[in-house]
Amino acid sequence: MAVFPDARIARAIVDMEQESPQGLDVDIELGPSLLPESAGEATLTGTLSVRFDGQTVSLVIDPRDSSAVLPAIFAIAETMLASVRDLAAVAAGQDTEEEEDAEVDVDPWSKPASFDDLARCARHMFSLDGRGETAFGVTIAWQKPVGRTQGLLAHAHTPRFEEENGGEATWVTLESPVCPKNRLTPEEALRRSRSLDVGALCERAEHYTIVARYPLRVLDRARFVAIAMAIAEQADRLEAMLTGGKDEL
Amino acid sequence: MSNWSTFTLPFEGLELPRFLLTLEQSLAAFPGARVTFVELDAADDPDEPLCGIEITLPRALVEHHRAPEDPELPEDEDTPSAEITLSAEGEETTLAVDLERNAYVMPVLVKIVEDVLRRLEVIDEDESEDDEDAEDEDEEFDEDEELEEEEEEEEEEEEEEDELDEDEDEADEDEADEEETEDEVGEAFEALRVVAARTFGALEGDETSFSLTVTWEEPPRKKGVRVRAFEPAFAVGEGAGASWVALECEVCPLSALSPAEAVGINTATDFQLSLDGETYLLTTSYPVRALDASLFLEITLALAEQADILGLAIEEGKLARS
Repeated sequence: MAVFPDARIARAIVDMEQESPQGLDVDIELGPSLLPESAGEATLTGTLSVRFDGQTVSLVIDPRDSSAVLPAIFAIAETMLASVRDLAAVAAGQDTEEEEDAEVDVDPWSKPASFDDLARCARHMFSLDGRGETAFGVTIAWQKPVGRTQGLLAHAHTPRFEEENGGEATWVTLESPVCPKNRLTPEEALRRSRSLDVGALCERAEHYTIVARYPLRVLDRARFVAIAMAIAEQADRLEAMLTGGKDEL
Repeated sequence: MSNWSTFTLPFEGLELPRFLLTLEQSLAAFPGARVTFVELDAADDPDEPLCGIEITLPRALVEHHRAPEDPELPEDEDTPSAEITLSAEGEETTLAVDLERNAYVMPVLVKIVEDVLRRLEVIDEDESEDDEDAEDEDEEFDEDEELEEEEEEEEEEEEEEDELDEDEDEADEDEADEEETEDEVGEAFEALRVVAARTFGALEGDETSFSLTVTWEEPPRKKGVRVRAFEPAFAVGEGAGASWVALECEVCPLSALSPAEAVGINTATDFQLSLDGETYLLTTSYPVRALDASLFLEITLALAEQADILGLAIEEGKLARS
């Protein structure tokens, strides 16, 4: 919180009666510099929570919070995660990766200027599996109703209408694997795509994956996390349904 | 209810972590006692934060510490609890015990509080649990009990009213938050409808969807786009704040393109194909709050154009059914 002088903790609630997961909800009051201009001089409150299920401590953000406060809450969460990971790296005797990563962008409204910016943000929010110049992969984990994980790949994409104008990769492809190809016929895959909320199923080597594409400028912290989670969650649900509950992808 | 016993603590401000740590240390000597709820409230006045701490006590522990003259724990009270309050006002930090709220658990609570105060060096180490000291402590706890009954009753009523008001306020606050979110989402979708009407002309539709037509002059072509607000399955029951918008455009009938080819096309196109009945659709979806006017127009035009180009290519046999 030290890097967010316009934010302060207004209320914290620990409910230890609920044994698992144990939780801490912290209401954070945000001043004008952390809110959109439309909020004027008002202050708004967002909530950042911590859950502990006996094994894992999770930082929780409720996406139902007002869109006016979410970017600031994400910025605070990202800053926390970055410092926690740097501490963990130091404790493990590793060099902290890339100095740029030590500096978290504390402007909650900043949009990623490049694919590299998005990768840096993803590194702070998720567990980064790998990173290249035009792609990175993360693993997204759920604790409820049962612990499951889902891989998500992001790569830079140049939309056709910009390609014609010599445009650069200003979009991002987000994709998450679902199941081996033999689990669905192409027609079933296309019909299932109709009922998906985000993206559609497509073939990728020997697997079906859910693919969705978005302009980079849409993906500020809050939106990137919301969309990435939505794609991964859909892919995970389909994987569980089509493979008898397996969690391999 | 005005029977409070208060103790000044040697703290600068609330020092909640220090207090909770000390309390946990004290509770270690009371089997089964544990902190079950901590509520820190700095919302009203950040300079004077208030913290309520609830401690659950096993019935056996409460009965073990009860003297014959102490009130008997009601039979249906399976999980008795105590509540203490920590507050910081000005330069003074105070631990307060509400005697009425804690009437049934007072004997064990007295011992817990004493232990905490000893650890914080508010009372001397040698102030022990022998009878003499206990009497002193009882006096300390009882000092406020001398208020006249009438006064107590009046204040009790006032407090009950306050509590009711607080409950109502909280409920109102929750409802207001929810309505605010719904308004925000509804406004965002209506804003898209206005932008669409201004840009593309007459719209058809209902509360949660509208259809528009994109037209091109050279070559003269047109394409319909349907814009639909929906609650994504992954956020069902999470309120209107989770609303998304889908943009859909017809491409061609199923008979014109094999599903195997269509699935392959999805790996490369900017938008994705899906099959609705006997018709292929090109679709995309966004959180409604992510779509400002310029992005909405950019995406609508690109989607319509790509659906049209793809449909034309299939029609001309460039992507024929294999």
